[in-house]
Amino acid sequence: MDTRVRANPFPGLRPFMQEEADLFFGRDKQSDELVRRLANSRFLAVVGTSGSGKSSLVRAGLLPALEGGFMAEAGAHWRIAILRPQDDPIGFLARAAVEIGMLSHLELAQAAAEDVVETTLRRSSLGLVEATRLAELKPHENLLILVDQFEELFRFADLAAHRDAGSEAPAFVKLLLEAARHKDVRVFIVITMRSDFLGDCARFRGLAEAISDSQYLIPRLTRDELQAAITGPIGVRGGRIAPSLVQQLLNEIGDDTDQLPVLQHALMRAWDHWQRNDPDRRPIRLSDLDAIGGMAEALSRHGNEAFGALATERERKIAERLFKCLTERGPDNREIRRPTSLSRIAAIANAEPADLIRVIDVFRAPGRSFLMPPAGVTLEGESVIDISHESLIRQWARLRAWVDEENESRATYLRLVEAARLRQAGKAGLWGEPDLTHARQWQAREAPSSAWAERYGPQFSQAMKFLADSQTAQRQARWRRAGLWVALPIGLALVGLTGFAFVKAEEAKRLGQLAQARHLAAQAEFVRLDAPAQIERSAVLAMESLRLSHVIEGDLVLRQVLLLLRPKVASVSTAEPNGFLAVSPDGRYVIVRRRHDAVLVVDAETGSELGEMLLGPFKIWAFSADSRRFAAHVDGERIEVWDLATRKVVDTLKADTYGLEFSGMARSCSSAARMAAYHFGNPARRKRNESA
Amino acid sequence: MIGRLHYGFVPEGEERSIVELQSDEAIYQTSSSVAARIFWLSPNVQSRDPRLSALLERLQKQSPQGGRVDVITKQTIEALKALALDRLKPAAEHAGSTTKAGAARVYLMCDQLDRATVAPIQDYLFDQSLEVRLPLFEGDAEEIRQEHYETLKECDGVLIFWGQAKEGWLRTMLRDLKKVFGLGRTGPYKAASLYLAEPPDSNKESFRTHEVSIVCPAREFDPGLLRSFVDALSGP
Repeated sequence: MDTRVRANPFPGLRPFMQEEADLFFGRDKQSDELVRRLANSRFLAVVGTSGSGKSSLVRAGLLPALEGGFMAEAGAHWRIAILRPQDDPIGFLARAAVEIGMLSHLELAQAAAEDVVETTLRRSSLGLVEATRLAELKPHENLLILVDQFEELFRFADLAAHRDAGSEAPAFVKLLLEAARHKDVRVFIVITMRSDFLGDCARFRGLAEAISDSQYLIPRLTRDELQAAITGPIGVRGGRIAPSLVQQLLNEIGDDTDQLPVLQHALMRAWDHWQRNDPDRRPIRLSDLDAIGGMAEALSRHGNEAFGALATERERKIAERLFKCLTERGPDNREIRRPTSLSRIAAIANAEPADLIRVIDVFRAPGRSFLMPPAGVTLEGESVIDISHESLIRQWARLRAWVDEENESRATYLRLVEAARLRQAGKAGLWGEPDLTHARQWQAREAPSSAWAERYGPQFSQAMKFLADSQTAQRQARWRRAGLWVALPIGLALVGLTGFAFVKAEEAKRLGQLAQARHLAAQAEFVRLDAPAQIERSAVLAMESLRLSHVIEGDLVLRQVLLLLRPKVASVSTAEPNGFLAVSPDGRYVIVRRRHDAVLVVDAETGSELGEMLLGPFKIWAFSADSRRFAAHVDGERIEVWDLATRKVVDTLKADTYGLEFSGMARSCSSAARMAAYHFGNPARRKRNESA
Repeated sequence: MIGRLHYGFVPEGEERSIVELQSDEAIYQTSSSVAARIFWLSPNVQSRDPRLSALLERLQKQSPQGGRVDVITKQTIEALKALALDRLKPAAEHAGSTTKAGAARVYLMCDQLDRATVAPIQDYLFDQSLEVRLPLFEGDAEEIRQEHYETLKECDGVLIFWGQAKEGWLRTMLRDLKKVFGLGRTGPYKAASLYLAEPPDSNKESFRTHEVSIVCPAREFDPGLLRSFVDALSGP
């Protein structure tokens, strides 16, 4: 019998499955310890850092050991129900129980059986004990409930509290604890949990005690165990690996918490490279590892390779939204996976499910396995999509940047929600500067939708209304100030009357322009959506709108149109994953980030590259109203004002700031002394600049 | 132990440093024994001495003849201490094979509920001059696993008896047949069969595999069905 075939024996980032126990090496001692502890207490918490291989250890180590009869006192007859709590822990427990034939002797339809089990589970804390009795297990049969990624329950508990369903998570915990406690039913409970959530266990009565009694904290693998994890799977599949490469891998692993997933991924890639390059005549060697970027770069390079395989800008945008949906930076900067249904991601990404599936398939193709479910599993609206491991967030630079962006976006939105709530309660007012500018820039950049905001709470419309009200109030206040500024000299001289009339006329003119600009923006949007063939017309309308007044609606439409027009208007290559893009108020210039230390100025009409401005990283920026100047707060330490026609710096001021805006006077201003007009930071410095 | 700054002192009349001489001596002394070799190179080697670079490269590529070889780089001295202690631990003793020379060994895998049922098969195989071993049904997980894998590594043939066990057990056993190739087994089994016994169920009826040959007896044990299995083991 020749069992050796050359399929890739390494799963990459995803955990080992039970069916892959023959490829799971180096952790026999750990598996045996799990069996021993489970036999003693019937409740076992497998705890470890992210990347320590909890799921793999339980699925490919513990479960085969149980089914192989290694727990002698219990025998080899097991029914094993596996679930993740997600957003319906008791529901998923009922479904998992029915899947292993818990009520099969009653010959009910699956939905009916799930109803019966779920009702039994919800009846009392003894629900799981009762359901097990209903199942009529054979005398030598055991039931194992495996709750993988138990930490999801804590997030569910937080969300449930918002929805007045706060008792469900504690009820789920009680079901598990009671079942393990009743020795007259042969129920065993295993949970896997990240160790950084251990403290959260005290939120549920009895859970902290149970975990203290029976937790298994996954130790680091020894050098020998790691060596077995490298060479064992290769031996099973009939491959060979050079001893020098084994030594190199063992030395490179170091103390990184992501050691196992990164190693598994690098080996998967090195194996593929070896298979393509004369595998019959040589072992896997260092050149195979180097070819895929080595241990340090393999994952990031592979992620970029998958991203680069997306055919269109639209697909790349969907991918960005997809990964932002699936990841989160939690408290204490922890990277958290956020499994989300396909239909929900489609709503957030504003994409058709078919388009989204095409993108997902790129990232879960065989040999990639960045996303779950694995390739081959048909995706439907309710399919839950998940990234295969948190280490992807830590190791793939592009994804890390997306997570940071999403985190910042969430923080801005939640601040808005809180401000709206306080205002409604009469405890706070509308926003002024600099919060308002920051929020407006966020709105323009992220174009938040209610589907997106639902992830963080249900008050989207109130928050957006608060923002709109703040903008309106600020506009009105400006005009009141302007009116006061002009009215004062009027009181002193007759000429003032004329001036007042002039200001009023100007105001009326501006308001008229504003209304007209909004009307043109609406027309541009209408043409963009309903007459794609006339997209140039939409662009002209949007630019006309911006020429009249820099309204946000016009800006948004023009951004959308430029994306569609990009091949005709400007072909701009940029190495930056999240390229900055801005359009001058008159629509003449497009500014995009080309490198981390430079932006490119493009003529929007001809598409020609006018030249670069050596601008380092910035988040706060503004155009002058006449589109001649561009100001940015660079490297978080200075404000630079650039002339767009010459692409040269005309002003620099070392300053902290939270917002930038050109005053009317600053249209043609070029003196540093005038910088107080853009400066909102340190009051002492502002005073100094004003006096200058 | 090789430091991070210098190639080392070169004795008079020699071209190699003491460090390199010691390394070569260690390789020579252990190449024909089971003694473990551990070379620890200080992290962050700062020397640009080409002789030290050449020595490091040579150590990384040395032949693993003899005992185990570990070349530790980029890791602290604590890692060296831990590994040295691991290497000094006596290897776990295995009960070992007590078969008389020449007798082929058969691993008769079965569930503990089938222990009595397999007795006629066990007797029959023994009568054919085969050494028969069953799994352990007592002891802790470590003992049972160790015995299981060692037997799988050493045996010449495997007969899986599927009686009262669930399909999950069978699949685990079939996976273990493959896994032992990563645990050090080199040659294929001379014979590997699956014996489908009572009680009948739908899983057994629909079960198909190319990994082992399947024996489907009638109600009673029929030695004739195992003839080819025994012949395969008795052959060269």
